[in-house]
Amino acid sequence: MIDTVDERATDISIRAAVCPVCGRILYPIPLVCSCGQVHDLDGPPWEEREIAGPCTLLTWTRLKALPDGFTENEMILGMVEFSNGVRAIGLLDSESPKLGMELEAEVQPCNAGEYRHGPRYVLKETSCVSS
Amino acid sequence: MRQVAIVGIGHTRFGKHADRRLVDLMGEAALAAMSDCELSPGPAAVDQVLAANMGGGIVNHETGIASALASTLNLTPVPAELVENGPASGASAVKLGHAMIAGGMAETVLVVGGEIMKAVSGSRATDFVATLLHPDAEYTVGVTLPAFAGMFTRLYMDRYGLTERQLAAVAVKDHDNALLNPYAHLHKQVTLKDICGSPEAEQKNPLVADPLRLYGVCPVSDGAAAVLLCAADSLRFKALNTHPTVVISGIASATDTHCVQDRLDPLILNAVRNSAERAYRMAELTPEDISFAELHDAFVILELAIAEEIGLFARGTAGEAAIAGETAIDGSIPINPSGGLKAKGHPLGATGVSQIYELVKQLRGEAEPGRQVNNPLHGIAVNFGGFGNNVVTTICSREEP
Ligand SMILES: [Zn+2]
Repeated sequence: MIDTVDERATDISIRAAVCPVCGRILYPIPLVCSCGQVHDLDGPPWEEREIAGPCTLLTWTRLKALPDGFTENEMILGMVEFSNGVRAIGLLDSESPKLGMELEAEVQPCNAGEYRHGPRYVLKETSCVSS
Repeated sequence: MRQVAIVGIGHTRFGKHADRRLVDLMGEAALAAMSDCELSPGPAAVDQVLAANMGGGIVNHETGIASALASTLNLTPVPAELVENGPASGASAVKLGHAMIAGGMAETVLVVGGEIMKAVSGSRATDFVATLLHPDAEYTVGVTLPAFAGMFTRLYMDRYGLTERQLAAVAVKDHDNALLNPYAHLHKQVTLKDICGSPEAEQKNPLVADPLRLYGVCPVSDGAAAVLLCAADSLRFKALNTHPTVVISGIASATDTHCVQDRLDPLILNAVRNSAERAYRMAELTPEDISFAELHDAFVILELAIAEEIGLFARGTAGEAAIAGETAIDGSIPINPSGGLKAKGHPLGATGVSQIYELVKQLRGEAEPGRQVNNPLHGIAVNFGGFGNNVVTTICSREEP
């Protein structure tokens, strides 16, 4: 039997759901929207959207003491807001971050330690986005 | 609702106890609390045991802590349960103990909080605490509690003009207070000049989660604390009330979104505000009535932000107050006379119980010379779980004889 553990990291999209009642875009996807609409997992699926692309930096930190599983000496983390109001946290790829700067969020796999497997945002300065 | 008094308090030294068994360390605090009110352990000593701990299963490979505690203390067949509510486990256990007495299920409840974190490396301990974050949107990214504190501090500085010097003043004050607290983890005096304002100071106080520096972050600590709750209208209270009477006048908790990013304004600590409002209402008190506070300064920015959120200062002004000495022992509103999490230490499950231990000690007038608040009547404690997604506020009051 083939070990399929690594397949977890190959799905590298990050999705939000659209509440069918109030239209809010919800990430991470909850079981109940703040308007009260219940996400019936057996019912018709809520529309999902991939969330990536242009965003604005709300705040950031350069973390020196990394948790178990990461081998880097430091990591810059940023909180961003997309134009549709969705906010997210990602790895910030910028040497001189500034509050309010425009960034481009790409989704890349993270595989760190025993439990950190999945997609995460990498936030790049607009001029440094990979083609 | 029956009034609930705190008749016994116990505390171990906070620091490194990696060579101890978690249950034994918690038992030490429990015995101290029972001894404090001249209660001998035995099958009928208390009606209920509540243990508070976050990481026994993950870090120490010990589970079933409440039953083990009841057994080693010779309290069986006492009912015993474990309360896990992240770093707010301790005050949550006190809240549940209060509810059991107020609701008539018990007359005496022994609440014991404890944690041994130094059994693993700092990076493992950081990782373990981060398991309370959202598994996909936060944990997988590599976010930790210090990372949130760093991002929060940057936003706060940007909006309110908070300075590094003001943040450092909180650490200096906490270290001063801890120096006089025999149970504190860090007994090390520092000055503003030592940790702020020069290249030498920056070397001694390096960035940890920019703009938060080393002296802005609590140590990883082991330790335990215990309180014995008793119905104030019971016969047992008359026997156990061997000190000036202290009651829980208000206690409440509240939650906020799991993900910090989901908060409309990430600088507003809704759970702090909501739990404090409810606790004030229950106690029929206002912020102006509070004599001193024990606030959850796992990161020094939180001492300022929580003080503002519970109404001790206007928003954006607590930093100035700290540097002006208003929060020192002899200031207008002393904050963290114990040394706070910053210098007393932060053994997660013990922290909330330790804060309430300090409220009682101060209200009885039994704090060590030099760190006794002048004639306090009402003390408030805020125990902050997650990055503010589960918070307990407790107000204790001295009852005049
Ligand atoms: Zn909705």
